[in-house]
Amino acid sequence: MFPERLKTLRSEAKLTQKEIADKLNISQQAYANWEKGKTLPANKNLTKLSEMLNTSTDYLLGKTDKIKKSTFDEDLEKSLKSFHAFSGKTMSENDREAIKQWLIDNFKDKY
Amino acid sequence: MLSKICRKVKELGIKIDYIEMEDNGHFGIFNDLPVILINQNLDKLDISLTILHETAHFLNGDCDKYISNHFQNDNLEYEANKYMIQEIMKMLDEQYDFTTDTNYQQIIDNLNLPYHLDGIIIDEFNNIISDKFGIIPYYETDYFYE
Repeated sequence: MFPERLKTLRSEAKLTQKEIADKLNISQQAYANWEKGKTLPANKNLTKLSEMLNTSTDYLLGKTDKIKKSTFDEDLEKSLKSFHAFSGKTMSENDREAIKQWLIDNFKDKY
Repeated sequence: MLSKICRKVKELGIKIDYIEMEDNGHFGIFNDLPVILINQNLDKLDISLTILHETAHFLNGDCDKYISNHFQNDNLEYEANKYMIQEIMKMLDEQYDFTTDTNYQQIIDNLNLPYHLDGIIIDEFNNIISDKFGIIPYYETDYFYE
């Protein structure tokens, strides 16, 4: 899974093997071995690859089929939908804003 | 009591925080992380009750079941309140060791919950007493369920 995804995303990003290898400070041969499936990158390089190719390490490793990392705004919106006033009455605008602000304060810098 | 509840809830992997808001508490999820937000102006007892109530929504998986403007949500509330009262009564029993002489009306007064929950409190009190002493004490039946 990893070699195919790596190669496809690199082609789509219009990058050569050499360009990526240079950015990671490794030899082109070492990079080529990843695309051939002979070796796997260390975690540090895997993270850098995911950033360069605008995806997640999970996608590269085949743990998820979602190419793009979700953005904070997407996750925020999803999270806000999970907060309800269960008591039948709807949650006040003030409380919704307060929760939203708390989520921003606590999680935004992790993106 | 509050520290015990907080410890228990943290063991469940729930994050608790206190903020300025109108309702007593809200439960939700951010990227798989369960979050309970509590009104920072509550006293210790109400914080305890609110955390237990919101924890029940987590344990019961209520975020997925929620349907806006639907009778079913009354049931979610009922179940959350029941869990809250069961847990608080267990803790009060550990602390004060209930007997048949214990005045449950005093418990009801101290918890100061909405009246429609009195029935659940009395039920739980009777469950604890009958488990402990193998008898069902006399109690008035002039309350009704809502």
